[in-house]
Amino acid sequence: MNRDNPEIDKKTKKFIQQTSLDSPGEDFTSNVMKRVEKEKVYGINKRDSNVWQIIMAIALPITYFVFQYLTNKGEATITQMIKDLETTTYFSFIETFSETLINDISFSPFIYMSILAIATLVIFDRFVVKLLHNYSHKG
Amino acid sequence: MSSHPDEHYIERVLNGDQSSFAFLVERHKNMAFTIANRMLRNREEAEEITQDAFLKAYRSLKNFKQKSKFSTWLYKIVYNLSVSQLRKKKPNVYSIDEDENQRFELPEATYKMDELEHKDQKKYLEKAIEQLSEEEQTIILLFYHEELSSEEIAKIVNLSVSNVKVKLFRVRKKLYEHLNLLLKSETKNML
Repeated sequence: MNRDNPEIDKKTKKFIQQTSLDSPGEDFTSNVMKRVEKEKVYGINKRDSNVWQIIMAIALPITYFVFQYLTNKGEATITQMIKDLETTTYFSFIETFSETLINDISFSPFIYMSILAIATLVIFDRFVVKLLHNYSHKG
Repeated sequence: MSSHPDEHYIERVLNGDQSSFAFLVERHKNMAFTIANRMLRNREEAEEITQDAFLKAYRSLKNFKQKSKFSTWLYKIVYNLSVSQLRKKKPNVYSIDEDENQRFELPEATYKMDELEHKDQKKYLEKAIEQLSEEEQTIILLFYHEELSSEEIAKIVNLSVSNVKVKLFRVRKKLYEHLNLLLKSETKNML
């Protein structure tokens, strides 16, 4: 704007800045964010929910057997179950397993401890790892 | 609203904090929407285009090299999307004017404007701005309201810097011509 009178520039700027900007609707930001949330998250790869469910499905019975073994009282149950597996159908094995699991949950403190441990791992995985990731990128 | 610079929120988004993008939306939504609204002259369409622009910016954030300001980059997306939308309605609406070398003295309208009350000044200005073309409104808004340089505006509106300077000169002249006419007709009405 060198060729122009700087006085006009000043005046025009003053006049234009008096006019207000247009505003979109009140829910504009939330609408944009709803669309953004459907997009990929940068930085951390979002774990596939099916993979997570499979891991949990494997981890739960293993945890159950480990705690049964640690309490010693479960040793007979495991042995018995393996024997049953050889002689009975898979369906009846699952039925026996479920019954034993439900009965044990009702009184074994180790079951509650295992649930707590799993919950802690989930929290660690979902939040703490994310925080550490952010921290390491800033550092 | 937080006073962190845009780069802070961009980094957070790129590190996995998706919600930080809301700060960028809040900060730039009015100017982005104003550009789209002045271009399209339709609130619903402008809101849709502005939303699309933010979404496009989010998707491409990883490729944003921060050589320019985030706002410049975002306004360019808004402008391009608005132009595409406009072209669907009015093809060949944008032609690049040739340079011209003429001086422009302090127009009569500026003196008349000074005599008016603030609310009247605003009323006449808004009327005069409305009479400018979509592109002209965007250029004048970015230069005087957002205080972007000719170089930054050139990036947004896909013109050369010299073209932007010429357009700024012409737009301003046109604005005062419109203002002059508006003020003259108003004076006649008063008499």
